[in-house]
Amino acid sequence: MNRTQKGALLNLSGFLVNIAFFAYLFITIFGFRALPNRAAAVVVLLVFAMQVGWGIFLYRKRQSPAEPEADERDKTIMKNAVLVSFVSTWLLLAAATLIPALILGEAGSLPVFLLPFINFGVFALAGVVYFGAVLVQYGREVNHEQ
Amino acid sequence: MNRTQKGAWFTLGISSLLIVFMAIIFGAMFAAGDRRAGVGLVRFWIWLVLLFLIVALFFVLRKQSPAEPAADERDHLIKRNAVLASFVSVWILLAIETILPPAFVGDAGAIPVFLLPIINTAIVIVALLVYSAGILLQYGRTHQEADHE
Repeated sequence: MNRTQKGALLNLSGFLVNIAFFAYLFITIFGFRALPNRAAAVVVLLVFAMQVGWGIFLYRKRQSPAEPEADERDKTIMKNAVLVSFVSTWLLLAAATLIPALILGEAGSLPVFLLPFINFGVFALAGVVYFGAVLVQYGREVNHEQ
Repeated sequence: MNRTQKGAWFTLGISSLLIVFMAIIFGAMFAAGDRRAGVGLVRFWIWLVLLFLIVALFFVLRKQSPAEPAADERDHLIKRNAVLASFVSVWILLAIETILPPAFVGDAGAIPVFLLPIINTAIVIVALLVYSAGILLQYGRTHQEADHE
């Protein structure tokens, strides 16, 4: 596993933890109309700290002395992933435009405090798509080599 | 000028015209008085966009010389870099979209649902503008480097 793959794996897990935490916040605040539990924030912070620690260890420790920093193939893989993530961003933005109109109606109003949730959701899902696309491309290349 | 450059000029022109078009509509929506005050200008702009589309598409699709390449490896690289620049601009615009409404209507305020398509379409158009400008800037740079050599 090279540095790009390690970074993608780490970021993917980080984004998934963030999505889970924001989903919890959203459901607690808007579903149950209650304040979120502080213990949940502590758990997420601990998970996040573990991820950062694990990431620094993986990132600094080379699996072999021949492991390259980033070669031309890595750059191509990352640029393809940007394209995939970009397309997914447009689809998510279209959904973020249509869904409020379907739920609230054309004459409805959207509270502004929902905008950070919506846009963070789009950002997090685009991030998952980006890092997922990086890992899928590496997986495909390994399969081709075999 | 190859097809990628012509395509970038085409996108730049269309996105600039559409930004002005949206600004006209937006201005007309919130203008006091007669609701049909800006209709004439909107109609004129639609004709202008259509005329630009037809004339520009002719130049984009027509080859300037038989030796003009459709797209080579350098074009692909330039396009990918432009996609990256456009992608970054989308996130900056989405951050602005998150921060600006509370500044205008307050944290407890609300925005009409019909504004969302306008805001997000504006983001798409600005992203197109950044994409095409990114392509043209990179070609400009490559030409300058070639001139220096």
